[in-house]
Amino acid sequence: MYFSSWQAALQMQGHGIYVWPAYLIGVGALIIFAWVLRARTRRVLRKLKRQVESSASGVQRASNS
Amino acid sequence: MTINNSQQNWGVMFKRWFHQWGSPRFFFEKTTAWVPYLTAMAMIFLGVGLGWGLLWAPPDYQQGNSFRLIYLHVPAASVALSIYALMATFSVVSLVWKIKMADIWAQSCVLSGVLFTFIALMTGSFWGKPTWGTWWQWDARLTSMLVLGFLFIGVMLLRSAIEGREAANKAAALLSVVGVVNLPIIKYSVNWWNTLHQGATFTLTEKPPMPSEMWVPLLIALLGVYFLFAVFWLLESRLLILQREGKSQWLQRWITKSLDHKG
Repeated sequence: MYFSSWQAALQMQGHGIYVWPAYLIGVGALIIFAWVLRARTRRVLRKLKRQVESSASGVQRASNS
Repeated sequence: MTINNSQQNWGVMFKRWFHQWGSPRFFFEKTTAWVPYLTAMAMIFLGVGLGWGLLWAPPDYQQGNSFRLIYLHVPAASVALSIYALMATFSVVSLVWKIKMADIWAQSCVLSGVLFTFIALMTGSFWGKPTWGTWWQWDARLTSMLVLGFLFIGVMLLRSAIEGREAANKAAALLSVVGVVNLPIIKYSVNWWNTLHQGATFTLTEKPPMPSEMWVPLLIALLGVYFLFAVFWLLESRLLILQREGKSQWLQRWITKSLDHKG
């Protein structure tokens, strides 16, 4: 590591207050984006599964159970 | 004779390739296996690139430690421009050939475009404060980048505002193509005008103006961000296929199969 301690890495000789928040917001935005994408996909999949299930014939349902 | 034949074969192969990838079913089934690999690549490259840049790279001799913002700022800005170019390319294909998938591919770029443009502007702002003494300046590079963000948002709003998918697609594609004018303006703004913003870090013809322990992590982070966009783009395309092709038989069969797997 370039810095002598974690304390020094956090402070970055006074630039830490600019560097760390920017990284936190940036990486946070990426994570939230991925999470929302997953939630949207799951919602659509659930809806499609309900449609398939409700349109499935009784014969299929019997064979599934 | 032989040359003609092989040319014909290439033509046939290209045509088949073009048709295969233009099919939602082919794309959906082919790309299922790709997602975990691309995600792993993105995580590894981003983890190594950003971690190295933040903690191990030496500080800049003029800017000190604030320069560490480069490892998120440059990759985000670079991918945002690439995403726009990609979106415009797919828009042209969808306008000219009316291929269903080209439109899905173009739409899959929009949200990632907004995201990465935001990250580029946000990190730039945090970098500007200690370096230039201001969070924001109406300078050529910054303003043209803001316009890129508005273009992405404009395309997004157009799609949701216009009723009827075909009309919405067409309007979004047209705006995407027109907005391409902004790309060279962003790229060359630092050369054409006197701006606060520094010049390009990477060029094709010259060595980067920094030691390798500074630019190697930057290159790694850059690759990581491109892999991450590939993941987002692929997942978004697959989501759009689910939304649009929900009534088609192959997709219903796929859903039935996944229902059976979960019991």
